[in-house]
Amino acid sequence: MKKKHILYIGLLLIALTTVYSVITPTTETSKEIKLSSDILFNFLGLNITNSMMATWATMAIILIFAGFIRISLSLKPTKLQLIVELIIDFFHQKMSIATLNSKRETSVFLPIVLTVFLLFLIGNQFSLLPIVNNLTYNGVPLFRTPSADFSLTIAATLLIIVLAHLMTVIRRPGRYLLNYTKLDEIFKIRSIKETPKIFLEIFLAITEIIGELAKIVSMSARLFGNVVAGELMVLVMGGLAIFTFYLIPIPFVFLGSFAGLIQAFVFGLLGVQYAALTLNSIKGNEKSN
Amino acid sequence: MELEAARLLAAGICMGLGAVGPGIGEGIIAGKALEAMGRNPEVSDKIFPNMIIAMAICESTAIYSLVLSLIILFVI
Repeated sequence: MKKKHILYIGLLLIALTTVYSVITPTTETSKEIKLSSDILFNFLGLNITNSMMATWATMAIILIFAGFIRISLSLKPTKLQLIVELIIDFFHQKMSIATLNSKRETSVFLPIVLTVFLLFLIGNQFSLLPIVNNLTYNGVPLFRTPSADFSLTIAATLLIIVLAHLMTVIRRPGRYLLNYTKLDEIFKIRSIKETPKIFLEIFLAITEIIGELAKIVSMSARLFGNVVAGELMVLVMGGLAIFTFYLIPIPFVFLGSFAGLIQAFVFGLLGVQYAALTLNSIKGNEKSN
Repeated sequence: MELEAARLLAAGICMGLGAVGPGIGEGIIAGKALEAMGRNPEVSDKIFPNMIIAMAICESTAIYSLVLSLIILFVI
């Protein structure tokens, strides 16, 4: 009986929030399409934007959730603990496969990637929260979906990728440099016929540097683009809400929420893969030599 | 042509053409993954996450054109 009640209350809450988030964009006519976030106030020369506020709120939610899980941790796991363990186990498995079973790298990278994943997982659903959309400060909405701001996505991407590069550089600087320049190939020339091949190798190594930059751009732009597209879609379809008895926007709200979930998942897994690719670049050469 | 009209046209063409390639690519990925799952249902748990990642990578060109057309429309 108790389980049933909880299920009904949960379903009711989901339905209420969906309906509420559908109705709110129409009541708020001042909401317009924007790519950059609005500045709320200035704190010691630092512009506090509304997406920063939303990020902090998400962080607070994650901290409370993590504290709650930590307190109720037991050998006989509750359902919530099982779900969290499932997520952690999935990423741990992927990470240890990707880094060729290196325990040290896994223990360094897993917390970072998981934290970023959780931040985006909860942050992407931020626009579904009721009431939050209507809070304003000096006529500016107080909260904005965190990943609908390019600053946050590129910061998270840079954190993961630059950290992987730093770890590689510190461990084996020489090998790392040779990976991206391939200057050692010059000393392997045996005949004059091989020179075009060597030049090709060096050119390909330079394109690899461009590839690293492209990784950063693609990873951050993917999340940003998907979340902004979902928000815009809901906003545009929200305009139709009154004429269609609030029915039309509901599937689009669901689609936007689902896209946010998938993108957080993809961001985490791609972070794991790209970081492991960089970390393995010094290991692969050891084997071939 | 006026500047406003050119901008709107550019955004539309950018998004429309940019969506063609990823659409075909994602269709191929989903088709192949479903084929593999149908042939060997036991590995579907392993195939599904990889399929999602491959789709996301495939989608990135569409996202580039989306971001570009958004920039054309709202920033420039």
